[in-house]
Amino acid sequence: MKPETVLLPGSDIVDMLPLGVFLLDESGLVCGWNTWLADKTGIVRQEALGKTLQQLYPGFDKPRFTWALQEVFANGSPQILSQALNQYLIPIKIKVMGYHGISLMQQKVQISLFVAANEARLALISIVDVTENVIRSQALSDAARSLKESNNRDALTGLYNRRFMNEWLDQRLKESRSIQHQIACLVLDIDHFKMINDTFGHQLGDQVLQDFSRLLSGRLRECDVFVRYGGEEFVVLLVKCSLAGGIARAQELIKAVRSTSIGTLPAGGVTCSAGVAVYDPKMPCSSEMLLSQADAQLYQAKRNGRDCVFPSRHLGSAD
Amino acid sequence: MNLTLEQMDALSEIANIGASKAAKQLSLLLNDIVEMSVPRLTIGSRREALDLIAVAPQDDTAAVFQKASGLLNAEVALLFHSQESRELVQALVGADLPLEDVDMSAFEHEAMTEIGNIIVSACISTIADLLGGRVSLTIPVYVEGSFSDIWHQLEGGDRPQARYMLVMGTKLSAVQRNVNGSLVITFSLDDLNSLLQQIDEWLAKMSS
Repeated sequence: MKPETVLLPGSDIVDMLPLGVFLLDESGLVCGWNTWLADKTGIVRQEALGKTLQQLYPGFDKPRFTWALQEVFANGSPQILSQALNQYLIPIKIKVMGYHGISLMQQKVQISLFVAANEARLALISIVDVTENVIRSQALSDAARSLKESNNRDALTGLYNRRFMNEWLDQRLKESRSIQHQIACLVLDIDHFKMINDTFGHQLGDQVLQDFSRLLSGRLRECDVFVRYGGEEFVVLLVKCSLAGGIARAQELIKAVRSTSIGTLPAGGVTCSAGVAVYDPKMPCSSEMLLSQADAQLYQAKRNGRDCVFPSRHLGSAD
Repeated sequence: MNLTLEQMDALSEIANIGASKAAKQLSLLLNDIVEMSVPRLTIGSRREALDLIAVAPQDDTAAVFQKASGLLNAEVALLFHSQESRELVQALVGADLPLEDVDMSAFEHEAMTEIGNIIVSACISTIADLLGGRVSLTIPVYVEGSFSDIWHQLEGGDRPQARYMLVMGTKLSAVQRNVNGSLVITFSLDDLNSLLQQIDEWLAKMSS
């Protein structure tokens, strides 16, 4: 049975509002549908009246909305359906090109109890289009994300910089304490880099730094963090990695550098040394201390003749 | 204020039913397991309420206010620590930027208003259902500020009245985060006595 159409008080005004307004009776049938909704949905008032939202939009299933309606009818408690948590109530295609996959109008919805002149209890639903705000907010987030990303990168090599490493490492050490994972820290330094610069010029020096970064990046896991620490010094942070694992990885990296042509120099023309330390959550230390231990080990590798790792093996380890 | 053991038990039961109703709705909405409990509850003066809430006056606080009328005439507020609630909302909506990078406050306020709206509605409608009456609520309003400013509003602003407070300490757990909050219902002595009378009648009905 078609429900009685309810004219809102001042329905001319309701038709002029820049927002959607519609009424549902307790059985979920539409009994009011303003001009804004007709314009935006392409469903004219006469077509909408007497139908449920499921009939107008096959597949319409919004448990939050269903509960909100129950609350409104049972207790008269108004309900807010935020865009942040619901995105939209009624699927309305937006005409402009979608942004970040947004192709449907983003809506902020409010539901209140409305008692009509004939004492019928109805849910008054208003819909505000907040699509522009959402798009603006996403654009702002993208800009901030991109700015943050560039602030965290070294301009020459594209690797992470110290600023990023300090934040990342502090955070991971905290996590590591709760999940009991070790983190291996490798400090690598290109051997005789000053001599390369002085002999072949800064342009080749830069090329060496770039090639070296690219070579090692390709040999690390996605979850590892590779940082240009400064000058020709680099840090590799290996999550869930023991000291033995860190030493083995450092040896692989050093071997790869030694056997590859870097810059315009032949294989063996560029070598590097590495110091390895490990963060063990059973014996926690600060990020500064971890780096300083790895740096001290690098110094030992340099003293041992360069192109090597210190320590060279982990006593007590099976591997 | 001294309540009988039965009255306190009844209030605790009502609070926990309301909380589990809210948690169910939040789980459906957020498509994640949301748990909510009411581990602490007190009813009494401003001093007793403040003792239970135990928040420093300068602490940043987020609040959703709704006014109740009908069976219960009261000011209802859900209070959360601002930072905890923002972290929860960011986790729920998938925002991955540190808070200081982008002012997403409008976005978060809106989400918190809805979460508060669900919790307040669920708790108040549970009271109404169990006591067999009707409680209407006004549209929720979100406010952020220091705890002392929020508390000042709860006490009636610049025209404070003698108020009694029912405080339910809530614990909301979602997306591996715990957010501790308080649902505070403030009423006049008459309205409080009226609520207690309704509870007594309900208890009598239950035991008969």
